[in-house]
Amino acid sequence: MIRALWTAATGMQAKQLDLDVIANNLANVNTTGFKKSRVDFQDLMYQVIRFKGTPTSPETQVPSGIEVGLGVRPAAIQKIFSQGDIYETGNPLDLVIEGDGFFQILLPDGTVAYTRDGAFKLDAQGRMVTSDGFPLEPPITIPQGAESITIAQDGTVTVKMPGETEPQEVGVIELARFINPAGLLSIGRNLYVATAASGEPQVGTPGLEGFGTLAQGFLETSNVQIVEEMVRMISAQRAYEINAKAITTADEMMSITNNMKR
Amino acid sequence: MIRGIYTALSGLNLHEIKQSILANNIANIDTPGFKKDVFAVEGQDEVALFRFVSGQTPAFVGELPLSVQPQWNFTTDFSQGRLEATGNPFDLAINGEGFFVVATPDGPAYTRAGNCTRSADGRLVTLEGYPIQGEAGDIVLPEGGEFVVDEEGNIRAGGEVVGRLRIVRFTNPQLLEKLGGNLFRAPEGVTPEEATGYTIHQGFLEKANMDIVEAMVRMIEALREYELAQRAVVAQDETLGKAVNEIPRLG
Repeated sequence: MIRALWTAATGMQAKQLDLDVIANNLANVNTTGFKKSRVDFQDLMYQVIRFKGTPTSPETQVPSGIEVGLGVRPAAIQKIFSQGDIYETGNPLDLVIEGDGFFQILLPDGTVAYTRDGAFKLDAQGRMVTSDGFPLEPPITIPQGAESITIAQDGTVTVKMPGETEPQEVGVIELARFINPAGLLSIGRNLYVATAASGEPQVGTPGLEGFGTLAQGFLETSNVQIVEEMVRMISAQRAYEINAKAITTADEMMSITNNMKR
Repeated sequence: MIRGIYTALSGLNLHEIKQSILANNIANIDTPGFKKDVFAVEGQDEVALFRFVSGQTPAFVGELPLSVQPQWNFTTDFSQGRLEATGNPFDLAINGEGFFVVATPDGPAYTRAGNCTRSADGRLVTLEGYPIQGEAGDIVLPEGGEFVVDEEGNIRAGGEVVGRLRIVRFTNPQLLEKLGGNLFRAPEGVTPEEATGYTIHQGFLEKANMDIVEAMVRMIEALREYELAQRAVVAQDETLGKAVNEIPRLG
């Protein structure tokens, strides 16, 4: 009885976590470069009441025993790095990666973070920075008074200065890629940092060796599908409900036991 | 009289186990590759009752089971769960018979949950980090690029075959032990054989083979059976009470 109560409680907790993740996906449905998460569940341990193969007589044995499962637990919340939708903004500093790769961002503490959010701005020194002011790594500085900025598919940044006829190259945007992007640690602000699970970053030129290409004037929206999240939300709610029913049933059974002696 | 109370009690205990098993099935309704446990109760070996009258041959009255026991032959239902499209290339589902083989530190384990990932050294692993076995050991995916798994389990990356998933079956999967963590273990003496009747689907996950309506009905059933067994105890108790308190008063 108590067993069923706790088992159903793990089910309710799991569904609560599921809903937390769905709520975060939905809250970020319009976040540039956001990648949706998914909770994966596993069954918890089993309590063996009668072992399989217990002898019932010198010649025979129990063919399949009794194992009572004790509930469910979340195994992982993993990010799904599928490509998000791409939309045009016309802003020359908006970049999208079509394919594999991350922009490298230098954090104030000197570590490198990674992002798919290509909505760059210029700071007072002309550096290309994220919306939080963290500079792109390696740094790209746009000289003051540049008339136009062009970013090629392979990441080459050129500017046209007033009075000059030839465009001038100011730097190359490099991308980083991971063998297991799902192992990256999300630190908020659309940024990720590398972990032992993600592996070391491999840095390369956009368009080469399997890296995605850059497109200027576009942004990548989140890869959250609202319909899918809605369906998951409905299913999580119903599963939560039936786990609650299992608790009620276990409770009723205990009440029946209590009423046995009058 | 007393005999009946113990018979009813053995039912109460088993229906409690039944409810626990149902609660576990329900808690795992969203666990990929989960196979529900089934629990049924049957009467234990019957004993023959005889009436003894002195001077006569004992007369056969009938047979009566003195307690109930679980049905041993059927505990886990290995029927196919429904496949759900996820679009994630690291999700693999088996349609048909068989299990993925997973190398754990304690030896091989078997699973129907194909939600895997790529480890930092490029191997195809479960979410716990245990390598999924191909026909030639661990499956190593080359860096970058996409990988494609066809229906037969061949894994291609960049047009080149890098391995084939090892899918095994058991003559009697009922003998497998559940380890938790979506894994099954084969006890000693149970050996896997190569499976043939399956197709692999990439971008799909097999959901638990548990259906919410069935879960609800079974739960109501377990509750009512429990109630009935409790009624039987109460009825026995009342009869016994009458025998103890009222019959002597009549005499």
